[in-house]
Amino acid sequence: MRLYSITTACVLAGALAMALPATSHAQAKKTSGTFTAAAEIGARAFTTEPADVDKGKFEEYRSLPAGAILERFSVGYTPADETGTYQLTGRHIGQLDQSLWLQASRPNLYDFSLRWDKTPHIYSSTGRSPGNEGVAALGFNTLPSTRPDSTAWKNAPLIGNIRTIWDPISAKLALYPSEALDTKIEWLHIGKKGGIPKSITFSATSGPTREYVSPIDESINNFKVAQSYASGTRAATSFLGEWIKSFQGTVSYEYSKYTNNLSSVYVDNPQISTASISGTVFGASTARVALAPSNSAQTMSLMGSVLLPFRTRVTGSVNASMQDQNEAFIAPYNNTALAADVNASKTTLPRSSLDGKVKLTTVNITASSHPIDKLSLGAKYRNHSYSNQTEELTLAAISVADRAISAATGGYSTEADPFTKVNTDLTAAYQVVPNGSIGVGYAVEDFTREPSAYRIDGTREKAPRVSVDYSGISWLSLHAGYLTSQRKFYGQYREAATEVTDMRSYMFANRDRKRTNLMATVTPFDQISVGLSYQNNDDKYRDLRFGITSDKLTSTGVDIDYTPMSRLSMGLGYTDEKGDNIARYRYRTGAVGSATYDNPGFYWTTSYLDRNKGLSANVKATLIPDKLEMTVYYANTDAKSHVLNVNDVNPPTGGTAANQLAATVENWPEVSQKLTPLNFAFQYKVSADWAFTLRYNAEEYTNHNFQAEAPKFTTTTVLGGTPVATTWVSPDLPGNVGATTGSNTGQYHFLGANYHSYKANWLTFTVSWHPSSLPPAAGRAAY
Amino acid sequence: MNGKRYLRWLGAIVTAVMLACLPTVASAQKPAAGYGGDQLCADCHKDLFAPYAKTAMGQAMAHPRAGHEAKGCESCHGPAKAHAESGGETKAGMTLYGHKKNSSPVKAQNANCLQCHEKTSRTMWAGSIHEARNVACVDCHAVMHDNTEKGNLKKATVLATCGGCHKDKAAAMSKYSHMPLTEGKMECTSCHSPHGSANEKLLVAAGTNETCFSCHAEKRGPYMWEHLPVTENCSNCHDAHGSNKQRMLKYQLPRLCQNCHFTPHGAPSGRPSDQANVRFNYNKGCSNCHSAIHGSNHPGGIYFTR
Repeated sequence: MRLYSITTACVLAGALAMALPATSHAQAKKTSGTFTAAAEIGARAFTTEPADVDKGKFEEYRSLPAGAILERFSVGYTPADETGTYQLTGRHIGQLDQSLWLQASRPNLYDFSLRWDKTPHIYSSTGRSPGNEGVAALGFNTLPSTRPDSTAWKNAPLIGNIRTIWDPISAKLALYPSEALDTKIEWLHIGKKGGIPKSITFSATSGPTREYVSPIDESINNFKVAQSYASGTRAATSFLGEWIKSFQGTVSYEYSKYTNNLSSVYVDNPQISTASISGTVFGASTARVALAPSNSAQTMSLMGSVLLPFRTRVTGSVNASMQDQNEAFIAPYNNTALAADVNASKTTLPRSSLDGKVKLTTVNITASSHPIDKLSLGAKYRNHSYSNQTEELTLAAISVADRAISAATGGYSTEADPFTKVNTDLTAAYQVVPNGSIGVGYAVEDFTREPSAYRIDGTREKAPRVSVDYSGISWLSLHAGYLTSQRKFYGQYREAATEVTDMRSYMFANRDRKRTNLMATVTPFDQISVGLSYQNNDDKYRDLRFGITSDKLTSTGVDIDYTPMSRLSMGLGYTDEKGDNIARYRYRTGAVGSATYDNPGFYWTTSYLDRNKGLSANVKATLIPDKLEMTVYYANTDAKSHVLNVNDVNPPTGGTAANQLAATVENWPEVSQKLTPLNFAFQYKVSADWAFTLRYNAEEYTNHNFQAEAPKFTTTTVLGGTPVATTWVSPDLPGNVGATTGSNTGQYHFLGANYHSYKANWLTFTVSWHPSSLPPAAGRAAY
Repeated sequence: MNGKRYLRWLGAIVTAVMLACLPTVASAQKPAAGYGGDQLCADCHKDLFAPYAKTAMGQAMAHPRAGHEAKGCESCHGPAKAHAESGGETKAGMTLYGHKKNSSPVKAQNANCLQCHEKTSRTMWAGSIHEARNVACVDCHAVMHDNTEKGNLKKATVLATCGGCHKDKAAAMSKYSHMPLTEGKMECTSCHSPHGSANEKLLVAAGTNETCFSCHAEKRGPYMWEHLPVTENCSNCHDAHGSNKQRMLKYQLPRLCQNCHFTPHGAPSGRPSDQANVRFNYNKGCSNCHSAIHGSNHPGGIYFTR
């Protein structure tokens, strides 16, 4: 019904938009406009089709069904004066990723578009569950009252795709009532329905943990209106005309509303079906998890710009936004047995909703000037502040996981931590040779945070930079840039007594940064263009005992476009990226100040190694002029990620044998994925009106991610136990881990949310009517 | 018919009628003195006229509102009378586009475009990083023929256009977790304003979070229990251009969390073979329990478990 109404609305709007101008125009000119229509229809058949359970990544954001397809269509109208376009285009009609786009424009008068671009997002196609994952009643993830045992979990049926369907509809209208005025009205609606895998613990610090399908039934509506004015070039005789050459201004207002139709989700405990607060196994029989609350935001913006002598432009803007959220709180806990807890009465909430308010203010001033032809100067100032103005809320007692109630002296208070980021930037560029310039710049960032939350007053980063641009030789265009910066924290460092000194998160630790980038385009002759790029990012976090201490990234790329003749063009691209990060961590146990609390024998170093390579090639050839065209596309993306861990002292020393084992690290298995699509397409044009297209697509995807695959669990809780037969947990973490088969005391219950490797080969044959009027193909399988 | 459907229909009809009733364009003006007019250009460059006439700009020029639009070809290329009369020998006073040796300075090229295209997003072009890098309008936009559905780009998509220089970002879109740009469902311009912006990284909204919230408004809050890195910047944890970790995370779990939380639960080593601590390392890592990590509105959600 939704598809029908939206499609019909688009068609009706399009028809009206086309018909009315045509009528008025016909009255004036006594002629009629031109209608165009085009369509591509056909069929898709798989020679190798992945099983449904293997299609998670294959159809992550798209839909590729076998059978009849309406790949693309276009209906258009051009008025008799050939001024303006009225067009309705569509792609993948009837599929989960279908899109419709209505465009209507009259140059210098208006632009209008209405676009609906449905987008599926599959998170998992491998989920299994012995319960009801919200299918019977959205928001209720139930299990049988006699909780399933290990065997039931491992043999649980597949539950199909866990996915969310996005339904974004955008309408944009721009009016140009005069050369000086622009009016823009935009509306974006995003409907989201479906589910996403989430997890929940039924205890505060350990199992049982259950992965479930969290329901999604929400919408976003963003409405924006903006009015711009541009004076155009002003006469020198006008008011201040010798100084103010021209000026512009924009005022805009935006309202954004997020609506969640569900406030919470109920999730059954996999271990118990009767609420309890004592015994070996206790907790809520059903937990209630709060979902994202509905909220809204309003933003007002003012922007002005003036052009002064020496081509000096000064632009200023003020942006003020207020974000609100006032949804009713759900109950403090969902364990009925907790009513007997001595602190139960303390969980009464001071107010029924948050009445949350956040104020965001951004002020920008930008100036650029060219006092002489060869010199460019620039200056920027930006002040961005976040202020949570929500009244503090103090709860006398809380239940973090429906298992017990904790009361604290002074209670538990919400935090409203403001921050302000101020950026200033000065830049100058001078043309030292024709088409060659040297630029220098200096930027400062002051980031002030709430000390009680961040433990410091703020950070200040100073970043000088230099760049060279040159395009003075006809076959060469070159850019080189280098930036170095130092970020330092300031103010007194405040650390909790339970921590050790010199621990600062990488977010605000002292940091040395270097950035180098090179880009060159070489065109030795007109038929060939070679693009080269090199980038090196190097961050070092100084004085940071733990966490990320070094973060490096190097990427190189080359693109070659070659067009030896008008009938043949080809391209080749290659990118190689290396990431190399180093971090320090530690294991800690015991009381503050004890030998095991901060034991150098429990420290370790982690190295993250990332390697990404991408190769792509394409060929487009006209085999028979005006008749037969061929396109070929091949790509290979190969990504590997490895986490290597090594103890400072190996094996760790100090503490108990169990402590040492908990501090012992090992390398993690490599995580890798490779995607190789190969597409061939031949299009034969029977005439200007008709064409046949045959496409062959082959895709191979391999994915190895130990974190989403079955771990090698043991029958005991420590390394060295007898491995459990992997057959019953392979390949997708289907459930009861760490339990004896046949019992229901397992701690970890996973749906399975892994993308499987796949191979797919398919043929698509289509017939195109008026192929030159079709919208371009979209998506990586449609080259 | 329910209220929503009624509004949808009403909106479509009102919009269509409003569009249809707008006034028609003004008539053309005579070429200014010193300018040759389009007819002179057509004598030699006739083949360029037909495809250009189909572009939005070609249509606008055919029905000019102001003096510079009435100059036709010369509104962009400058006075060409001498050029035409010399049989193409002289190009003095003309603007030549591109980055070749005899091309006009990029600032002069762009200044011509900005005569008409200076409002709204282009207001911030002056002083923008792309202006500073000497990017010409014609580096990204085709002008003389219709090439794309929107923006008349030189390359087929926005991603291909931006990826011409930002190769690392384009390559990142092929990583394990990415937003649907290669699938044609988003564009670089969904988040960035390449013509200039008052905001950092040329973002369309005032900050990183405000940009993300336009589609992920459920993360906006404010929540009863806020997670500071979230309120500060989504990119503290996520790489919006793509990542080989799940959910576009910058580091693998649980190490991402351990970069700030050095000590919770003893900061276990996270050995894949350690069954006792498997919850830290497998599946969603720390968010196996702390699933409301973007913030919680549950009274008991202080540790983001509800």
